[in-house]
Amino acid sequence: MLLAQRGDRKSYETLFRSITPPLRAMIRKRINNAADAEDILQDILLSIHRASHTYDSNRPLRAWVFAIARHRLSDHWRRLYRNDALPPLCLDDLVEEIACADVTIERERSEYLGRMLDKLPEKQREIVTMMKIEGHSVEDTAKAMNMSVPAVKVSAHRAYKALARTINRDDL
Amino acid sequence: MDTDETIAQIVAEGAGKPLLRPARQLGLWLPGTLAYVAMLSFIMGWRDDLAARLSDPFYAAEIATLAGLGISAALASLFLSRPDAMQKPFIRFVPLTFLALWAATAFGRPHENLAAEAVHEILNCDLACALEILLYAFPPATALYLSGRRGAGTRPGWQGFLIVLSTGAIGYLGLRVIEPVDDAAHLIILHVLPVTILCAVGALMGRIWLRWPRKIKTA
Repeated sequence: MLLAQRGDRKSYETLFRSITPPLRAMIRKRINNAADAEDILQDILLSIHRASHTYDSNRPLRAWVFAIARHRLSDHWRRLYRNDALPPLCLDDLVEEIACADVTIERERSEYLGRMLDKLPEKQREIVTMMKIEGHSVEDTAKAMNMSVPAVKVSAHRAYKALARTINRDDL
Repeated sequence: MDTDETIAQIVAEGAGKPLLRPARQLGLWLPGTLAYVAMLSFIMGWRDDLAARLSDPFYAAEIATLAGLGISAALASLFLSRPDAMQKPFIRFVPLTFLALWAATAFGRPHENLAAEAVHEILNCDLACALEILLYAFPPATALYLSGRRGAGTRPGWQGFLIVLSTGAIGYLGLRVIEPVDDAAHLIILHVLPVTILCAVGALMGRIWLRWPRKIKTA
């Protein structure tokens, strides 16, 4: 830049060719639309050119260049915001998206739980399913399984311990 | 126009000649401002008790902190006229230290009947002091605004605020050496308040006059 400020056009061109790729990468990280990103890149390059007299050769060039780039990007967002050009946010779409995400997560959890339960002995699996998934009481479960209440409690306790062991092993 | 064409156009125009460093810009601005303040004070007449008042450490400290505030705010505004603030963005807070010191030296002592006197000053609102502050501040502020416009600052609001804070402090200082009034209520209502309002206006003007154009065009 020092040479460019002294009138060396070749150095000026080299400078702009070398700062364009990192600037383009920075903009593309923030703006998806390639055409918009290229438009903003050109605006930033012109801004750097217009502010070239404010660069002090004793300071790092990178910080100066990126300060201008960040400022122009902020201007771009501000302009979009003021012109209402940001894509409108539809609450119904958002609710639907969240619901879809919930369903997906719920399904994943359910499938994982099913796999874990399959690893339990049949009797323990049925007790856990009745008590924890279907929400039956210990007494109802005992009646349905034709077992005593203490026996159901002991079986449930063993099932939980086995499940915890399996899950911990899977996590590791 | 694609990016390569833009670069070619930029290169054809060439880089601008570098601006003077902020300290050097200050070195050009400060003597002119001091000369203007001295000339204006001489025309309007120094306060009769100036020599005696300067022997009061609180008054001397107030004058010194006002001068520090004026100079540091001007220097900070010149730093902020660079996009990266010369990698010293914290410099905009330095004048605020002087501001706090000045407030402590000027109004740190307890004042009796301050509220009643303040109400009296409001009711007898006299705009002469505010106009005199404006008279002191306007030419130096214009010079700083023009310097600011030659730069390319990214905090135009701060820049405008600091320019008016600097020149407002100088105006306040000017009035302290010509007006033989040390009454706290008078100073707060008729000196501090106008400077505060001017600072707000300065910040707004900075956002309008010192901001970058929306779309940069080649020559």
